[in-house]
Amino acid sequence: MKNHKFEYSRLALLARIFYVAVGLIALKLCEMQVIYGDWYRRAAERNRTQVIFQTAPRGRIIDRNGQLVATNRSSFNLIFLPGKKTDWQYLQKLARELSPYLAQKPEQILSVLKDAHYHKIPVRLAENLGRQTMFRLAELKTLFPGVDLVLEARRFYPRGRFASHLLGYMGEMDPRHWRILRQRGDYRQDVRIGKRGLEELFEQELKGEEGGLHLEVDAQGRLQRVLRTDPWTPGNDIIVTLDADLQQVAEDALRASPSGAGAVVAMDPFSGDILVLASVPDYDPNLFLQPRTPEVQEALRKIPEFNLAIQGSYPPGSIFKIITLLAAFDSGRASPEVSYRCPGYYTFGTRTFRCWKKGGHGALDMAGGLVHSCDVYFYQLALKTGALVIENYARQFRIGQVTHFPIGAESGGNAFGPFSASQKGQRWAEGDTLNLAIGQGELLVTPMQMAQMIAAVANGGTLWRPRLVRQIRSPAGQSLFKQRIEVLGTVQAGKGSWDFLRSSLVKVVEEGTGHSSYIAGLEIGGKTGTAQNPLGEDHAWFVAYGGEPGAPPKIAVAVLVQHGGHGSVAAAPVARKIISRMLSRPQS
Amino acid sequence: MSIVFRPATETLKSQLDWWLIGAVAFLLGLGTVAIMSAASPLAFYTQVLQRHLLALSAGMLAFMVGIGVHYNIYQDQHKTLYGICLGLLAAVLIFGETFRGSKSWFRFAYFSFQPTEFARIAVVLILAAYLERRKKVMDRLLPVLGAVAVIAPILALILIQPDFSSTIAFFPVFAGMVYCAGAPFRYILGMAALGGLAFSLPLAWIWISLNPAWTRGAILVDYFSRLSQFGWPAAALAASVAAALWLLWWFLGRIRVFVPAAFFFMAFFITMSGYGAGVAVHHGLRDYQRKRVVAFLKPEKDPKGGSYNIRQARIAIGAGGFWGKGIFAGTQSRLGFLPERHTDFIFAVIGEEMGFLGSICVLLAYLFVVWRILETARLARDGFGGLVATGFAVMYGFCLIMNTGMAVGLLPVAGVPLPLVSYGGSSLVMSFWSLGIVQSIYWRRTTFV
Repeated sequence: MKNHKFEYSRLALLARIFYVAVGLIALKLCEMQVIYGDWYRRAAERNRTQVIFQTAPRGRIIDRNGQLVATNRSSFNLIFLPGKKTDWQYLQKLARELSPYLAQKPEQILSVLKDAHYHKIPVRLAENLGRQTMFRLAELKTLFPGVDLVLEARRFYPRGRFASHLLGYMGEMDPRHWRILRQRGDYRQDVRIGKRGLEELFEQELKGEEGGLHLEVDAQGRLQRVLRTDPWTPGNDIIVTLDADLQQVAEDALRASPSGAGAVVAMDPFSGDILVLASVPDYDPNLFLQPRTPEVQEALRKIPEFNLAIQGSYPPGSIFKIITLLAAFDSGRASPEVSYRCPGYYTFGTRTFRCWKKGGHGALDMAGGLVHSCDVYFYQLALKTGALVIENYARQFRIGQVTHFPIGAESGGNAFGPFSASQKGQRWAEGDTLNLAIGQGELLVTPMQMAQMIAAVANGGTLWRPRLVRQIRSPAGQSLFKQRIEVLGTVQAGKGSWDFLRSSLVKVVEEGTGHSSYIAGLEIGGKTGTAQNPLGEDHAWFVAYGGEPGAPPKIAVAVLVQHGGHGSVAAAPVARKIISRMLSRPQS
Repeated sequence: MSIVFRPATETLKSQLDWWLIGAVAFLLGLGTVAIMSAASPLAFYTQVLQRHLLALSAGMLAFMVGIGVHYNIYQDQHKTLYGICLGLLAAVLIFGETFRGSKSWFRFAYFSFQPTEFARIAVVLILAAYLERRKKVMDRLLPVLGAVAVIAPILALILIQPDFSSTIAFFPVFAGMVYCAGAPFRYILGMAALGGLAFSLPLAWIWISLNPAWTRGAILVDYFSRLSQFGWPAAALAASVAAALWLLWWFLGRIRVFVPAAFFFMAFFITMSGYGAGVAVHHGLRDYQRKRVVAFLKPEKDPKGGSYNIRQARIAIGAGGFWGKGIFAGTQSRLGFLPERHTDFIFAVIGEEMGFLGSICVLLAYLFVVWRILETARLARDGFGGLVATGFAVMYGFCLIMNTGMAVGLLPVAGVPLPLVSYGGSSLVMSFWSLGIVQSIYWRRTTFV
């Protein structure tokens, strides 16, 4: 029917267009609110909440006497996470804005930001911020996505340059670490992880669980209220066998030594506990936690990460005479009364082997040969004993095998003798026997192996696996893990042999080459060594054990001073300081 | 068509469209709650609430007046209405307050008044009166052009303020009324083409300017982007359009399809004036409007800038889920992430706090209101009443689609409020008046009161 006013069909057309449009909008609403509602809800939550992550305090590292070796300090840090919308202009603007707060030049900040942007790794722009600065930066960070403030428990090494090779350090994750750790779900890219040493080895134990402050903010980034606080859980404490006092003494002594470079390993001879493991040159692990100023960068580039105590292998020199003597005595090939005359040289075949003392020692018996470290005496002793026997004893002392120390890529040294030579397809000449007798030739050992050896001498033949970690303890004080003591092997020698060897070593200290480590009222047995170094000054060795007279020894020490010259001059005083410190202390 | 005679007092009660009134009351209630929720964190919350309640009561009055006054008076007095409208719009340009860059407010002691809102209603009445008188000749071009001439001064005065977004609703209202008055569809099509050119050309130019790589190497694109300035390219365009049309005419003539030359003149006129209007709009766009267009075309370009609003509105609506977060519990609106939340984006507040349920209820209630107004248009006793109701129906329908469409991200942000729901005193009072007029038409559909 045609309407008398206007065409109704036209009105109906308008109505239909309208209904379709409303239907479309209803469909869109359905899509947004019903189907993808959760997605939008999360977006709204992200909008209004900001999470300030709080890195948990790492577990502490505590020495055997309860002294803190590594602990934590709290600090507010400014971090920068390179994100989606970081371009060149943004970085420049950010650097300009931050400059007055951080008291650094914009160019300086920019170079740090650029690095972060280029390598796609987060950086800490500033640490340990003051309260005032922090609040002003908190406003700034709403303008610059990617800039964030975090309260962190920062690793702190109270003694600074101390046991650094053992402790390791904290460092930023590189992309390789991040690829692995992101799958665990409890790491963020900007947290520091332990690198090297105990920090790396026990990363999972030390880490703890980070906390978070969930804040409600409005559109301007103003804080409305705290929605919830996830408290952090501190990491587990690690109790090490180290004796911090002794370690300090050892490091100081090494630094004061002629070359200022070397290693000390001290062990409890009856458990294998590592009391001291020092390697100098070392570094201050706190350096890694400081803002990356150019000076710090420069210092970090020159970090000496090489641990001389377990990675450095040297010819043992005269300290190997301990093994030669034990081999000769215990195998029965030579009697202690047999005496040889030392004219200062020894002719073997067409070659002449020298004694270290040009004029010669005259006639010496076995103990005298050790006391004066007479090379000529040992040449003849070795020829009488036989290289294979000496090598056999050296093998029992595990020369050439790693000690299974948990930290660092350990060197096993190099075994030397007729058997090793035949394994390598080399000929063994009788002249090599003479070199073996005085610890030269191809023989190489680490300070750790020598500590193990002298400890075995002190305890009568037991070779311990060096134990560094004694216990892992939860923050509540509950013991989570205890490291047992382990025997790696024993040296099969009679009790008489050990007694003879020890009495000879005591004589070395009382009246011989090791006299510079003599301490009245204590029973100290030791042996000096001078490892010939074709490249420069000789390396100085000294191994010793010490204790109250008549009582079992308390400590076994091996000292190596790189390029130190003669063992009695450079190395023995270091050992003396350690032993005297150990034994003069009131016993708990 | 039966005519029922009843006592006047009885008829008023029984003949009013109570369904429409119920739906409007529902929308007003929901809108008030949403405004309270959205504005409560603001510093001037009490002021907003006071003004809203004042407007509500003034609106009731306007509604009564609208019902009580016979709508044919507007037809009789359309010239007076026209005069008042022009006078107010001119006066606001002289005495008005500038707010957000446009001079469109009269400020009084306790409230302010926006004459544009009055013009929105008045234009419908004036146009209806004009078209009703010419309904027998609506198939000609002249009355259609005359209708354009009638509203052009009003539009011009509003654009001078400048208030671009308020004028948008005029175009569909005009088209809808002229179409329903009986104008041939091709006129509407021509007008739509003209308007389409005027709006789409600036869009295209901005789109190209966002992708500068396109102009390199592509002569046509480069030439097209240069058309945004008058000059030789524009002259060349005019010549080539004329040539193309002449060629088409010649070709059609050769295949013996004879089309009056008037069509080609019209086509040329529409293209060129559409182009001219497009250039004018392109240059007349203000910075914030350009940003909105950019935000719609390329939201990822600047997520913190122009597209921030629309992104936040979408998040707010989506986050509401099915049941909503609860009234006064929307984080998007109450923490300030949602902009213009008690005015243009009120729908997003409802979406967040009342969920799919609430927003669908708003859509349905609005749909119902528009349907009732369309019914009024169908049932109206005379052509004038029908046209007036049509105009209002188109106006409300268009506002609903524009506002909700922009909130859900289907349409660009145009700053069109949702009448009856958004906060805005003048708009509310005038909407009440318009609904009163609709009721007046409905009530008088069968009787002569």
